[in-house]
Amino acid sequence: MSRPGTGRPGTPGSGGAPRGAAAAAREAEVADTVAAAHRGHWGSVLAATVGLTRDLDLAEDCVQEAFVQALTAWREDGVPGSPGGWLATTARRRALDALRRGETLRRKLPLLIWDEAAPADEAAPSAEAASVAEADEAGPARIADEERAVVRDEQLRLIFLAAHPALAPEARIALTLRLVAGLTTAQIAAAFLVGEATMAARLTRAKKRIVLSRIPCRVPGAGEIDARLVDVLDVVSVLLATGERAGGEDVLHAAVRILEVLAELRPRHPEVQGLLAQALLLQARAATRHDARGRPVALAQQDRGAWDRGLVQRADALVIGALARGGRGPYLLQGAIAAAVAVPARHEDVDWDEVVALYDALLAHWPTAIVRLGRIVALGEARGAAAALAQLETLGAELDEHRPFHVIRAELLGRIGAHEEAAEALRTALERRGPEGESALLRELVRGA
Amino acid sequence: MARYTVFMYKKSDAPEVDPETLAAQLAEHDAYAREMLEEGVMIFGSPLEDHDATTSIRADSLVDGPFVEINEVIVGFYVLEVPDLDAAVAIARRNPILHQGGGVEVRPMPGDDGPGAAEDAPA
Repeated sequence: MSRPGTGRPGTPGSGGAPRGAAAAAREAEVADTVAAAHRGHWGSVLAATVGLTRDLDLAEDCVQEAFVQALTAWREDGVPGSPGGWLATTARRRALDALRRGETLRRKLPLLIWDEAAPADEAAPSAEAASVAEADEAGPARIADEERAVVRDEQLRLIFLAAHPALAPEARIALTLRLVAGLTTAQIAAAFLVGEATMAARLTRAKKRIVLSRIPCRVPGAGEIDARLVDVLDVVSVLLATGERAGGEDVLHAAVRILEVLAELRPRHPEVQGLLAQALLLQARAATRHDARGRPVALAQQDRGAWDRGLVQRADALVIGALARGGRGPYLLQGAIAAAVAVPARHEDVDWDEVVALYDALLAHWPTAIVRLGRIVALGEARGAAAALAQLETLGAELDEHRPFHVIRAELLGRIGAHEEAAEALRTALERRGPEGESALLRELVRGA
Repeated sequence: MARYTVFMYKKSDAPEVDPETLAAQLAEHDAYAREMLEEGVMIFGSPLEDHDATTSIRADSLVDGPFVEINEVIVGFYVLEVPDLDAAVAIARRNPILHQGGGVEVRPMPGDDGPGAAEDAPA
């Protein structure tokens, strides 16, 4: 194996140009590998490091330095067999150095609560006593086994910490993207259409809140895990909605990774499976949701042949399995709706009556205007545009500021031949806030109308 | 271990309850306080006399009564010592005032690992 520095510069025959090109290619290759490791391992490397520093900022700095070090080290010594392991070791070593150098650095704020043992093993306090009591009812042996598996996964601690109910909802989403997905503050700010300074302040405040309030960094015990799991799913659901926009791929990837980790923790939880199915279907369709110019493509016009059929089938199997086990929760119903729409090979083959029925079931959980809007779109496919329009008008007052409402209204009006009104609805849609790619498409439609 | 003060609030315009109901409510609070003592999580706690019994002091004045009229008044508090917020919230959730028309606030108190901690404080 050739090492840098062993070649003698200027020696005849060393061939500067070709070697330079090879080095550049090698550099690009290593940069790609590091970028892939960033996407795949950032969260677990941070989790491994936080356990040591018990200080989120210090841990983040160490992880960042480890990735920078990887760029050089992997170019010189080759990519290690386990990039994640290499990064975790390097970040933890840096953390130890930092702790040795400046004990006071981490003394400015209280340390993160990070108990080493499973919650059930901790001495006494009533919350944990309660969870132990419930665990006994559910069968002590099984729960004990689950608890052991639970504490091994440090990343789960950060997932549950970031989605803790004591944090403000928007802080939970920002923290999840930072601590679990490793997005930069600039990326998070861009995804949520706020300024970078605003997002930085939000993150700082949330981290301070965690340490000052002693919000524990742990996987919840058996008694509370189901409720806390729903908190995490609520966060991930917002990530999916964001990931749907053009440019939201990083957020979508992060959402899928979190759901995969949760699915390992609770392999038969119908709501986890439902939301995972929904996320996989978004990924399966990712390449066709926008055209080359970033304009959204309507579902009926998307190239189903370009969808990732492997992901579609996996999602479908998840939904079928969870429904068979009796799951009827809102995230599973959403997953079932997405699967019912995506599984058929042609748009015309979708069973829209079934989709409407699934929306009816979803409305029993979430009687919101947005869910009703989804149902109306399905109704338009099942019973025709006129039937859908009649119901759509009842949402006009509530959704007037919501651009998709006007886009859907324009589409339905166009289908019944009311072209004047359709054009008017398009102009109204353009006045509402929305992604730029969609605005471009709407402008073209208005011109063509 | 971390310390939290749990403040108990009631609406200042809450209607007076009849003596029997009041006795039943107070019994619930006694039982709750006993539970916390037995669990070893409560350091101190007390009800407070009526909001009107407040003496308000500023640099240049002393006033009979509260300075500002507010909608919700503090009627009592507890100081808890527990491992973390989850434990504090689990205990505060059981506070009887929550089904007596009131509410609670859980507020962390600086610990020996916080700002200004002594150099030789135990880790």
